[in-house]
Amino acid sequence: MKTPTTIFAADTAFTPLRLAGQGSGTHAAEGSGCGPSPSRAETGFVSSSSDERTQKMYRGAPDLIVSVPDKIAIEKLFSIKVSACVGKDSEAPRCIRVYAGMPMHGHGTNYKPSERKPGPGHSAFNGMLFCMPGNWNLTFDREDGGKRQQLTRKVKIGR
Amino acid sequence: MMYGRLLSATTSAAAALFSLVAVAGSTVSFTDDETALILAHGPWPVETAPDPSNRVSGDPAAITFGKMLFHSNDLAIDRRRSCATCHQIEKGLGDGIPRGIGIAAVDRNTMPLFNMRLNRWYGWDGKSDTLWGQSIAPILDKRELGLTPAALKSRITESPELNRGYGQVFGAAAATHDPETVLVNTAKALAAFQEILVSGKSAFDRFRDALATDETEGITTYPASAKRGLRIFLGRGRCDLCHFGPNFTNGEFHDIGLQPFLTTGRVDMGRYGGIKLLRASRYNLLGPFNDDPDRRTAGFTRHVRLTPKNLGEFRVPSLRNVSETAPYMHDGSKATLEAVVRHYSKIPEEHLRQDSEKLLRPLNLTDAEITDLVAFLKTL
Repeated sequence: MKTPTTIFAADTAFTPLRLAGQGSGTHAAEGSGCGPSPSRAETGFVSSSSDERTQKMYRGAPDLIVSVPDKIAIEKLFSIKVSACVGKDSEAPRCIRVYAGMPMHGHGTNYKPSERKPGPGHSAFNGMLFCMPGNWNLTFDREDGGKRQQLTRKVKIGR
Repeated sequence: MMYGRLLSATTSAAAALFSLVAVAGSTVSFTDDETALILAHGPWPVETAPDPSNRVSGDPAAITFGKMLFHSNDLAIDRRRSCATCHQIEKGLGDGIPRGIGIAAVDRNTMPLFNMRLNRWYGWDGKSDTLWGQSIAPILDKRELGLTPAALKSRITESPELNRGYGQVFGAAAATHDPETVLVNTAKALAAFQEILVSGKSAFDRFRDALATDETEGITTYPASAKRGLRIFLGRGRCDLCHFGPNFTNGEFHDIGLQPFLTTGRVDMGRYGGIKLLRASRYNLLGPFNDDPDRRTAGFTRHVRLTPKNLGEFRVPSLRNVSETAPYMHDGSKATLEAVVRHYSKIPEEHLRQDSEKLLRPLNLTDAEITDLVAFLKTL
């Protein structure tokens, strides 16, 4: 049974992000790398319970669960929190990276976020910026030993 | 401060959406989506707060002293020029020539000084992250004003007016401060003055406000040609992907396919060089002269990324008052707005690097469309 244990933001600019790779067998397990997220007061991120819409958005257990601010204003720095989901017998990924890019325009963001690791499998990235309205890709790299998994989510940023 | 169009101290009424703006007196109308995009370019002016990195930002005494410094020839090594020599009111706070000339010629076009408080980067290459940091550069540059910090201190100490002004703003005579402190304080007073140079409401703003309040007269008096140009600006031209918001800029840096050479064999590094200079400077927001102990505005400086892609990128300028600030581009290579629009219409592919903006492609505008787009730009 899949147990959503991490919470995500739900807002008009972003759909909740539950990212699952093709054929991923990892499992969100209580007490693992996908443990309960810190509260909004602790992180500045919005928390909300998973809803029906969210449940329908992914197939299989998620590999990464991403929390984003309620509203991301263009030209304003923002932060993202990423939690890796691991099985009971697995270890948290060695490394998580995040990139933002506009595939249509062939460029990324001009800013490099700094990373803070609140715990194994959890990363908070500060200093993200969308500098242009339009369709962006948020790409997450998850690296476990020799295995690298890349997950991408499309994001539309308005003016 | 009345520079260019009149300064307005208040913002306009809150924006509202309309189902369709039928524009009487012309065949031009805007859809809901277009109207929303138009409204996003206001209201104007934008309310701003004092710069927390500059303790004299917004201080009336500093503004007065800054104005005095801005017009003082004592800030030039040859006493034959001032900041106002290159930033002339009657030339849109620029100088009207392709590339600036101080004591000697410089490499880039002189940027106008309107609405500076809205920037997060300063100069074509963004080598400064504050207005006061940017104000230091021309004082020290041997091609512009050419003073050393020690010479600046002497000039201020020797001038009864400047010495008095300095003491009133900073609480002590310049003679009691070390030269570097005098330099930074001078730049902060200059910044306090420049911050009040805000452009007033334009014809576009009046049209935009009329749309927001559904005021027919304001909508109909905006020229039809400008309306057609606005539609190109928002639509086919995709100009507002970079020139968006009330200040008509995203404040970032892009390569738009201009020729890269300053002179034969000399390339302008653009943003790549700017980031290097920013990081090397003692006068950035991470340095010791930021007056905000919490470094609240230093996030962009902390996170800015240096990549080879930055080579040849230059800051997206605001388009406000653009009709008053010719010539155009970082190298002053476009004499008129029409030349600018024709550049984007027939952008030379050989000037676009593989990692340049993919959104840049020839717009292939007709002469009539070029005329309309220029007509719109002239209303900003």
